[in-house]
Amino acid sequence: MPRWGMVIDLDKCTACQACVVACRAENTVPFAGPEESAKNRPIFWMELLAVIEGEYPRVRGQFIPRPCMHCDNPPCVQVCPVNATWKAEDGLVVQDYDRCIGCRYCMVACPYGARFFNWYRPSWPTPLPQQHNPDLSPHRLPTGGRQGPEVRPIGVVEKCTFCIHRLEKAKQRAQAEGRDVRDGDYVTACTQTCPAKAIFFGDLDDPTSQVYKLSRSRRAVRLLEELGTEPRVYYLSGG
Amino acid sequence: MKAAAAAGAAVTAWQYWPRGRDDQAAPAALQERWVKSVCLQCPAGCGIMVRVVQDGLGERAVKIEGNPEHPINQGGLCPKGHIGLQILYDPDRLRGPLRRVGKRGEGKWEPISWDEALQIVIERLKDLRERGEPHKLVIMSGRNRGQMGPFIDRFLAAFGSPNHVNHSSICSDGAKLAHYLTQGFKHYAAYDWDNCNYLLSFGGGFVEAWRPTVRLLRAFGHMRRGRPVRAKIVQIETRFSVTAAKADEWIPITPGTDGALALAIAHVIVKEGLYNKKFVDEHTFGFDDWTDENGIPHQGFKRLIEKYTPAWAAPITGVPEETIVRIAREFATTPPQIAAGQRGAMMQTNGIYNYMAIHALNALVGSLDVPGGVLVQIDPPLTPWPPVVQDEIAQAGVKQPRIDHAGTEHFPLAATVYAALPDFIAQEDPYAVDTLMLYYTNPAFSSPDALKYYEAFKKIPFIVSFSPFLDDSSQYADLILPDHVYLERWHDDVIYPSLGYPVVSIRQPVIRPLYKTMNAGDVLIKLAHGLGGTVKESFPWQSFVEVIQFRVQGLFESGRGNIRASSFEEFWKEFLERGFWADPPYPFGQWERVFKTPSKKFEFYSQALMHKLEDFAKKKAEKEGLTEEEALERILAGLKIAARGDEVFMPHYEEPRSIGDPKEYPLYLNTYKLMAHAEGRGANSPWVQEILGTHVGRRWESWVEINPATARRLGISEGDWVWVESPLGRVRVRAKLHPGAMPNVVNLPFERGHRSYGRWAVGYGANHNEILAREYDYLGGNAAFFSTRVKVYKAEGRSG
Amino acid sequence: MQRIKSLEGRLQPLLRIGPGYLLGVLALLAIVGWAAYVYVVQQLRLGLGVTGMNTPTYWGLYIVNFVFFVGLSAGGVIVASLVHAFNIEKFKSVARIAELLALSCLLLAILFITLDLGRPDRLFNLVRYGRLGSPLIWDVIVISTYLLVSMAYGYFGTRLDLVKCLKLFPSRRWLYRVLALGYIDDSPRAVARDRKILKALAVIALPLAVALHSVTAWILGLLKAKPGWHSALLGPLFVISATVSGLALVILAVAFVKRVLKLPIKEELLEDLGRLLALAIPVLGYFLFAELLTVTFAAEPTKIAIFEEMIVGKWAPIFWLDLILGLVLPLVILLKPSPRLILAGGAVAVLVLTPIAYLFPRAFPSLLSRLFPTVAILPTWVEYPLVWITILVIALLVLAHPRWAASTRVGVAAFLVVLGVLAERFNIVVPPELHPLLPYPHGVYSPTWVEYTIVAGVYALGILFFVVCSKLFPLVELEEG
Repeated sequence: MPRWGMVIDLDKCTACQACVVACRAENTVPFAGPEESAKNRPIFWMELLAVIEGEYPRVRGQFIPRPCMHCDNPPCVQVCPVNATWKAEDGLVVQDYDRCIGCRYCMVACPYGARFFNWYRPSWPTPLPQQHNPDLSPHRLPTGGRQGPEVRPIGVVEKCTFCIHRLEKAKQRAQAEGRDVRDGDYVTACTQTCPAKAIFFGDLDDPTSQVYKLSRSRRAVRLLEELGTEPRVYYLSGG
Repeated sequence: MKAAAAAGAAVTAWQYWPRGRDDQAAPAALQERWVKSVCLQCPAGCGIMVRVVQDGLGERAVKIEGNPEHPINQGGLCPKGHIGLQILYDPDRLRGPLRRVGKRGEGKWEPISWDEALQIVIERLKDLRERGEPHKLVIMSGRNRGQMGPFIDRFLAAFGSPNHVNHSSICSDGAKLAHYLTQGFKHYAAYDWDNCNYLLSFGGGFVEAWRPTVRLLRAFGHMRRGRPVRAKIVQIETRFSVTAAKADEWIPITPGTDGALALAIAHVIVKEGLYNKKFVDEHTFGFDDWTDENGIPHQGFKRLIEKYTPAWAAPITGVPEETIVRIAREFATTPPQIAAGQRGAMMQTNGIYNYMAIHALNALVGSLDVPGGVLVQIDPPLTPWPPVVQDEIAQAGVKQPRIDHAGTEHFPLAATVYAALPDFIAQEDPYAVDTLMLYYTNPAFSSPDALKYYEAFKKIPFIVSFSPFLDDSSQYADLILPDHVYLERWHDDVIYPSLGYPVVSIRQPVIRPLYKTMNAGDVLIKLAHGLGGTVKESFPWQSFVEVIQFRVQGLFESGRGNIRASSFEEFWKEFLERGFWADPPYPFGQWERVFKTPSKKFEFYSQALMHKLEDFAKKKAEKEGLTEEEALERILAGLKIAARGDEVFMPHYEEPRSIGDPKEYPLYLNTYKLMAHAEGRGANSPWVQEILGTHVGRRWESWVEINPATARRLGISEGDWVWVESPLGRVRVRAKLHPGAMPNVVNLPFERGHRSYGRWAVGYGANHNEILAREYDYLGGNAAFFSTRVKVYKAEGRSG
Repeated sequence: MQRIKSLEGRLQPLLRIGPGYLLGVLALLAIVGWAAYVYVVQQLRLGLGVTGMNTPTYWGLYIVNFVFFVGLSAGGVIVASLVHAFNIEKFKSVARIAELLALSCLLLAILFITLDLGRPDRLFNLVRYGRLGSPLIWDVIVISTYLLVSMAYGYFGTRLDLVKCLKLFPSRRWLYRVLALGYIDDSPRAVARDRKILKALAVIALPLAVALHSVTAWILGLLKAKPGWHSALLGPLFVISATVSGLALVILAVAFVKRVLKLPIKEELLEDLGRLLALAIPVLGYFLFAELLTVTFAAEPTKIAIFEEMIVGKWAPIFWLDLILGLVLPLVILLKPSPRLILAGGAVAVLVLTPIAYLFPRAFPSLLSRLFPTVAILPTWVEYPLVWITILVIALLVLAHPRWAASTRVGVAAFLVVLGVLAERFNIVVPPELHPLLPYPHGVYSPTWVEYTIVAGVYALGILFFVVCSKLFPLVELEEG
């Protein structure tokens, strides 16, 4: 079973936010609109964190794209009272929108701020729903929940899934070829679009894979590693 | 009563009780296909593939990805590319032709049929021709990629008007003209970024606004970690942009003084003997002093720059002397290197000279047409246009002076003078405009002093817009003939200078047009046919796709490139499947192609400029009975060029001019473009509105970046509403205290503040163009975007 | 006969429902009804977006109140253990009030957690899919156990009185039969068995209460993602906060019952309860101090940012009001120092505080300007001593008033303590959320009118419950013999 993971090279990253928008398009993430944005409630499965600090003319800027870390030791799963989020068999941290009670305990527990709550009903004025990704239509999970209704219901928590619907398709393709799914069979939408080729995705356990090599490079760090969450997203430091 | 209320509440509660969505029907079986096309969210021309599915919701485009084979983007796509879906499905798109029924700008429209709409235009145009005034038709165009630009030229030529005003003079024409004066090609340069080891970027948003965007982003990644040696990137800019943050070094510089810095760097390189002597000897002209055919001695660049010492430049530019010396040494000794710039350096009152000075650095170190250096884009071998057929009316019409005075002694090098147009229209100088057509341009939003255009519009009896959206300018039109959006139409794209080798891409309809819109190219053909006579004869095509096929035939016939086919049909089919035609690699060393100057060399001393100005002087002398010296003196004074003598024709430093009394308006206003900004055309996408200001933490609103010390002095805190006021007016925006803002410069991003452009564009933020004064680099007719001074003070409203 | 008569006399208030009472009940009902209406048409219809919660302030007033009410429920077990574990029989007369409060507080706490859910329709998922690893499920288990134990305790403590009422008021026979669950045996054997059970329950309740408050603390304290919560001290701090607030609420309720409902309760009892409270407050102060010292001394950037916000930042008024009005002032009131001592304390405070506040202005944020932004700002070195003097003057007034009985004095102190603990709960829950570990923009939180309305509705519901119960059965245990 591949251990899907991501490597983001911050030296190559140009902070362009293509990953942010590609993710929204791929996963039919609603936009928040001006009022909800002002209340700091937009949903970004992939989000660009920006830090600009220092004093003129010694200024430093840092930009970090932040997906869900799909921790191997996920604090969100640890606290969910109803098993609405768990580590799936391939290690992705998934969310059951049909079971979630909206207590937001997982959001409080996530040190990365990678989880988002549906505070409001999303606005999709016609004909915007035309762009919704059909792959996210009801897709049953073993628990009976769905991994992604087209527009997630109000009052539940959602987050980056490492484009699990793409994984499902990759699995089907692999199955048709009579083999197991492996590195290179699929990448996430953010990886695919990255203009500077700063995002890598694949099997962290496959010694021939790019993410295997990069995640073991000298520049590789993980966010808040000291918390012991074992994130599956590695960053290659900039500069 | 209480019981009733309780029951009511219970019913309401039941009504609003959140429900699962389990009852939803399973979707119909999914059919899907991927269609190759080209993006049009900026001029980069990235290859895209669009996923089109057919399900219960109908045929619909659900995702845009980069075309992995396309040489520009190689599968990558920037945020603007994805936003194409929200352009396609914008709820506020125009559904069909509209005729104005209320007063101008009142917003009352009546839908009419295409036949009726076309007939209205045809009759108007016919009338113009019959009156012998075809030149009174003006077409303003913006992003006229591929054949659309020449096609509009052709239409006007056949019709009889010289007035195709495109927007490049508010874009980045400074570089084009500097290249023309020094290298003889009037276009942007191509660059071999992948092999470049040292980039000196003057005011260029390498990872934000410079084009072709994704090509540059890809190059950035490659220069950083895609190869064993990591290139150094030095960003010289008036603000701490994302590019500056991502660069290895940021050098803040006083606005408009990039030329001084480049000249001082050149000074150090020459003085220390670090320049490429072989290249300078073989491929440049005017480095050393020289004597012309009349035996008159001329000064050379080498002697000119003796005065531009780092000590001279430091106080002007605000860059410390030792930094200048260090950068000069680094640049000269880290080949292959590129010195390049963008609007920040070139859209200034002294922009062309600035850019000549920057480009001269490439010549000094021999980085022209070598791997890792500056290239000259090769044009694709398209079939030449058949000659335009003109009757007498047309012949007389095209001989009329241009409405924008481009190419006159007032704007000698200009091809178009977009920003000055309102004045000429308002003053009916040289004549009154009868009909204005707007194609993919929105002057009342994007021109400096944008609101001036509303005044000019009042002078124009008939305005036609091709915009698919009711934008700021179309709102004042009399008739709107909405174009398809780019995902619905046939359109080709010849790449923006970048890779060097030619690439032609094809934009094909990915889904059937959603509404009763029409390809603007088809509209022009229909108009031409409706006008009849020679105009019709000049357009022997039935639709725009035929035009593309006609032109592309040349690619097939050249037998070059990535598509080899036995017949044109086969070629066309593969062209559509691949989405592009390309002919790599770039051939180095074709010096005649690279240097098209009179000397066939890089000209530090521009003979083209000398000849141009001397010609004008000669004509003026004859006309006004002056000596040629006097005439030239007057022309230079009119162009507001301070230099005299040989200096005029060489890269030299002209002091930038600014508008607004420095005492009353102590701050420079710097305007800039962000990555997600589709050049003023993205504000109608909620996705854009939500990510545009991520780096400053602002969404759906405009902000002005102020240095914290300056802000403290002005009593302004983070998030306050402030007025930014220039001599023209003021805009209300949020204050963003930003350590990367220079103490005397405030930065205001472009994109927001539309007066009309759909529900997501109107009412959010402010448009700095409304307070930007119009000042020019008269030599090229370029709008100087960074010459307005402002003051900033607190406004009413809750900070947040 | 005499005894029965007096008993009947003492039970008369049960049947007397005057216009004042009716008006009060109606007013409460109106508030509850309005809040329910707002809940339905705002929160249920539009989603939690109508609250002030956001990213990263995922939890707001509802959770603050949840934690607060779980804490308030501690009073029941404290009194029960005093009676049964420590055999202090005099507190027996207020045991029922305490139990009733504990019960209603727990129910309100559960209500608050339901109000906080994005999907209240799926509340039952907590049972259906409950995950034992989640501290929230521990809390569900502990709360329901505690609820059962409280109910049992309340039942066995009240049953005998219900039987008495049943005999006295035939017209309400059905009611008392239902309340007594049909078990109306009042033979000495049954009474003895009741007492045994009560004793056992009181013994069980004590560790259970510790578990309840600790587990509630651990919902927050176990999270490494929130350094402001992530402290081993949080459990004990919650236990002591619960003790303080629970006790204060009992005092408040007893004072209310005595002065408003005019039930016979001895003044000394209130004094005694007040003394207990005065004992507990310094312990809470000590815990807070220990936490503050640890954080400020170590000055870890992630924690210090939160504490700076709490102590000198946006939420400083809440912190200082909690400290001054919620802890110091009630303590002064309860300890009844002599006026001379108060004056001396005031003088020392002015002499010490003024120069310190003058020399270190950064450590003394302006309080008044935050509370009343429009009021002209005093320098903080004037403001602090002024605040201090005001406190002492208030204390002096409260104490000096000769006619004010213990019930008023102790009641005022208890009220301040309850408010103080509410502020403390707010400070524990909200500020640590505002500073995420990763460089996100700092959070903001201002509750909306919807939240305030709903919270007020729940408070009204609690009071309503208590008031209605006061007419159903005797709140004060009927004395025997």
